[in-house]
Amino acid sequence: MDEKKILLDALAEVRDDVDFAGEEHLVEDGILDSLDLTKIIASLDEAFDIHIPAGEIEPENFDNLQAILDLVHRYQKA
Amino acid sequence: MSTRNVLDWLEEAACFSPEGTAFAQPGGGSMTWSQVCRNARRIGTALSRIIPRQKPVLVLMEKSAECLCAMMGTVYAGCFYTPLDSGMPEARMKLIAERLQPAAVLYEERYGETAGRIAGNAKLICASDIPEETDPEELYARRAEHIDNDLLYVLFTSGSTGTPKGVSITHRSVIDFVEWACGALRLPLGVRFGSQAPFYFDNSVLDIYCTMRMRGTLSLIPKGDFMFPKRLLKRLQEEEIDTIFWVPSALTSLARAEILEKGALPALRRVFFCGETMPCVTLNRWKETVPDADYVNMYGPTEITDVCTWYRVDREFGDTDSLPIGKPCANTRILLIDGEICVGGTCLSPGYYNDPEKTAAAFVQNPLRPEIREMIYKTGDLGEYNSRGELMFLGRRDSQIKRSGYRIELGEIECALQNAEGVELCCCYFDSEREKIVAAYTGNPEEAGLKAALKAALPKYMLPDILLRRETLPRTASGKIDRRALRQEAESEHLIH
Repeated sequence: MDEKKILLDALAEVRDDVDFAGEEHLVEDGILDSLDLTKIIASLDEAFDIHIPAGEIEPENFDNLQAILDLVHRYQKA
Repeated sequence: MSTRNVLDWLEEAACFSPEGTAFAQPGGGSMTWSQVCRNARRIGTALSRIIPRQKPVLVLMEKSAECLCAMMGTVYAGCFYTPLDSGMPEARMKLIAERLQPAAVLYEERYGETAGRIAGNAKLICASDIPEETDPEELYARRAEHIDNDLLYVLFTSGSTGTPKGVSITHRSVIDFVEWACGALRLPLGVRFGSQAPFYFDNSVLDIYCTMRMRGTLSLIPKGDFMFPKRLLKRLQEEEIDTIFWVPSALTSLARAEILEKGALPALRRVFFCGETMPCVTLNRWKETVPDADYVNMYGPTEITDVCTWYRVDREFGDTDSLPIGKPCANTRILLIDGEICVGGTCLSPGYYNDPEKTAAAFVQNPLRPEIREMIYKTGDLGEYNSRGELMFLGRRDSQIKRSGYRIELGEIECALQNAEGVELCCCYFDSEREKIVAAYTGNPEEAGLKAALKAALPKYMLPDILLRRETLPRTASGKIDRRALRQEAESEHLIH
């Protein structure tokens, strides 16, 4: 299974009512709230075994699918 | 002249600090004290033309300066307000409206449809449609009839039988509390408060009315800032916030981000917290980075007007120590009856609105003073005194939990589960270490369908994180579903990790 699919599945676990593949501004449009974000970070940890330090939690890293995927890639390398 | 109505403070602020920013909104919409006062009088006039005094008004608006004007406008009409969380499911809004029987629903335009569906017989008023006119005579007449024991607000909290409870609070309680708070917490005139609490949460009472009393500025920090530590830090710096009163989880997430460096918040002088247990590790991290601030731990359920005990941090604590909740506020009596914290005094709510049964169960005669009627509120919290005579919080005697500062009755979640189609038996527990609500059930529904049903009934912060479908649920000797045994089962089967 490719990473994008794994990510989409993990995100759907958090919010099944959001079109993560289609939305461009998940954060800036207020689609995600803090509970969602906490869950997303926890599910990234689970799905990809990556730990994102709280200081690096920036809106632009969660605003759309590509941004989250880029974030995953950065931490997979680290 | 002593204060009888919170509007006295608003009018003093509008008189002595008319151009001072009352409510600051980073995205626009900030208002000065004179603007707030004028808007509130205008809204009060509109309300007084259509509803009588002493009636409840539901306020369905985002946290904003405009929303505060609507709340104060309600008070000008001699009525009391209930701010509604716009994010909660409509089904729960309806339960609240049925209990409250509001005379009017004040809403902002985008919630028009929702307002229409929950209003029942209430008059509907869109905030942006209220005309630019004030009727000083009518407002004066309503003010003249006011007594300080009239209600100021009703805030709804989770109820274990599935229906939220409306905690009603009078002007007198808020006035007494705020006068105490401004003095004991050493708030300066012109205080700059950084607001975290939503208006439907009682911590906002201290934010709003202490700011008003001290003619300061309440900076309405956007909710989204709390998701992003760097943004939040920048906001505190830019707004030159000198006082914060936040739930510990908000303080913890900023501390954990490790972006707080010594000297990063030079303006910050007062850090107060309430709403859940403050971990000393968070406190210590804050003290390292903001060493000159006053740190005060507060405690209190909504039923006693926000806060009933307080402890100013006056010594060092280890990271794993427990912080005292301290001593009673002025005019507050704390009793420990069979280990349960019971509270009496001016702060006491007259009861749950339109709910004499639940009122009678929680508000009782002080058993230590049978000679005279004196009511106390049984908090359900367990406490004890430490060797220094400070009150310590030990936990709950029932199944109420705190999650990110939200007060949740597991019973309300179980009720929603029970009401979902096909569920036979159910039971919830809270894994506080992992911050997860676990719900187990027997019966037909698949997880996805059940999730949707719960979402339609419960606010987001109450939704179970883990749903377990079981063949049977463990029982206690008396035949009740056994929460503790369920938890052991779930954990031993490695279902939860």
